[in-house]
Amino acid sequence: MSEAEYKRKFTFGEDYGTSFYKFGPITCGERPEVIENRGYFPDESMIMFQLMGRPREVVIGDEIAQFLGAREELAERLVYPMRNGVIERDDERAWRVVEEITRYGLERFRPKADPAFDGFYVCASLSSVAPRYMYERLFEIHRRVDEETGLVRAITIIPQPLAVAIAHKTPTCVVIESGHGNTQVCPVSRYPIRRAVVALNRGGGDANAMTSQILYDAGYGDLAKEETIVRMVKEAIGLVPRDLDEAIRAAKAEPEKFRAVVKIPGTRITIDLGDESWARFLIGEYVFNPKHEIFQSYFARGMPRPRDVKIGDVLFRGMLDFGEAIIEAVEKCPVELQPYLYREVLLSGGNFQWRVPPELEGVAVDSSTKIKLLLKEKGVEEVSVEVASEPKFSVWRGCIIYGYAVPDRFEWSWDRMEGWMKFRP
Amino acid sequence: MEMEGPLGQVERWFKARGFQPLELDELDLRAGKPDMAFEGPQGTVFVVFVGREAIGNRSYFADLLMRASRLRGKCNFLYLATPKVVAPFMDVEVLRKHAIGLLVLGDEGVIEALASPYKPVEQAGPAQEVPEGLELLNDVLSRLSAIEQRLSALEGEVMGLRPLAGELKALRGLREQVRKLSARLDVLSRRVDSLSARLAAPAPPTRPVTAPSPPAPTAPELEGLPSFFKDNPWLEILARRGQGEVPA
Repeated sequence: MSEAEYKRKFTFGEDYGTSFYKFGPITCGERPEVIENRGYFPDESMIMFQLMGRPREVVIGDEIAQFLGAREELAERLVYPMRNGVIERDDERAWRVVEEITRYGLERFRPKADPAFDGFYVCASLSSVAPRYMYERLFEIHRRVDEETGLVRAITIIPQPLAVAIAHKTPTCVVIESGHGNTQVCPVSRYPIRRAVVALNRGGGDANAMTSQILYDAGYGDLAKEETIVRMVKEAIGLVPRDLDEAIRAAKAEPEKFRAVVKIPGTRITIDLGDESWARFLIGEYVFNPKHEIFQSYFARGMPRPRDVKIGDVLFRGMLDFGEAIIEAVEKCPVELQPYLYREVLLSGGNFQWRVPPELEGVAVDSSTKIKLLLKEKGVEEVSVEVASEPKFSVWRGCIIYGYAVPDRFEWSWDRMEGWMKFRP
Repeated sequence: MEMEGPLGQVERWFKARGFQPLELDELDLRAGKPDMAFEGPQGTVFVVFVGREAIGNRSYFADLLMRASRLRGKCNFLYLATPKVVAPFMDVEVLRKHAIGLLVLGDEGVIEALASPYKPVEQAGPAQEVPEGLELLNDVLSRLSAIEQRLSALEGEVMGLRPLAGELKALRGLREQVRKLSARLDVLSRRVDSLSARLAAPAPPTRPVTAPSPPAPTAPELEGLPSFFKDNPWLEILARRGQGEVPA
């Protein structure tokens, strides 16, 4: 069987996202399987476990629901390893979750009775700010899984923005990948330009925090604590304003037109922001530009301000708006390349899925328009911004193409940070 | 002289609202003492500080709540003061139920997350307190005795299950070993299959290291692959990886 024939069946993509792990072989077609990127460490002192023998050290996937106990326990026992895109070198619990999820994903697609199968060509994807030790640990995990299961013939790891650019057939572009906990801005020109990456300590989780505060102010303090409800409300009523001040003026002048009402499916709960409905514009604005003066009053009342944080060797900026972040990343690249980069700005990740109700067009805008406006304010006008189609699966698709196309004989190089790592002779 | 740190923050906050600090030693309290106390035109305020142990330590929080509850009848206003990092772990509903307020201490100063409602100070004398206390003690003792009985019954049930548990453990261990052996066997068997297939096939011609890369897959070769392969310029770019091109 030729390499191409083998890879048509046995190329495997893995996207370690901040909230979800997307995985599966090329034969999945257009969409991979998805599970939450999290693991639960059960309390071994529970009498049930003493009697029946220990369960697995870490539980993943749908099984977690059976173990979830009191709310205060969750923070301690439920681990989201990639929440910030970077796992600390010595965060052993997070690495245990990654290993368990990886093993589960590969086992899930073990071919049945195919004598030609000798392990997958695995292409995994990590945040563009993942340090070298994360690559080393991920290789090590796959080596162990292969020793136990024979499921990994070779593995390579690529940064998520490169995978997005590949999936969208764009060799030269700027990719903004925005997940739950952070956002990466990465220029790509056939290769990811690693020295130009700008990382932001802001993502969908911050829009949730803003939504929670709005619910609290509107008298729904009890619901403001429920993460799932907050996310649902954000998705239902959150809007990105063309200009925040104008949007607030318009919403206050015509409160009925802008009224935000959400019915939570399967419950008797209906949330109605009433006269406070103008606040729905704050949710979107906060993601794109938290520097607007209106947010100062929220910070003063105790809502945490997105701060600059250093995770591993990477500085995640808190308050930089998305326009500034793109400009900063592009200006770290050669001048000749810069116009080409501005010509293709790709927005990827669930944090760019903002809807515009037809009756509010003009006041509310989509993500690409907002980014163009932010860039225009700073004097950058020749820009094309596109929201990735099916952003949730872009990274996995890019992994599949990369794994399929990169020749087997190209061995892993730590200088170039690409190629195939093989564990077998 | 003004105090530093959290104590100083809380003192400034109450002073700004017309309250003056009270010496704790001057308070005639049998139910324990608060960490700070203030007096003002609206009445007396007690403050109990919450430590970082409140994160994930339920018994600490329960003890703290009991301590605060004992003080509730001895002042007009009662607050827990918590560092900002601990605030998300505080159950405001419980505090509200016990008429306790919450102050959050952070870099931005003191934030009153939950106001303490006014309550009159209890005036009960020792003559009334004793029988009430005795009644409470008797009630607690009788509940304790019922719990002990239930515990002893549970112990009996657990002891009865012990032998079964030992067998289950052994069975579980065996099942795990069989699973590992079976997986290992599968790996070996697949490798043997793969090696024999390679031995049976004619040897491929040796390719010099500098050989040109294979051309990008043509349209018919991509037939049957997912739609994102179609017209994708990266297929050609990636097929040439490893041939001396240096990333930026």
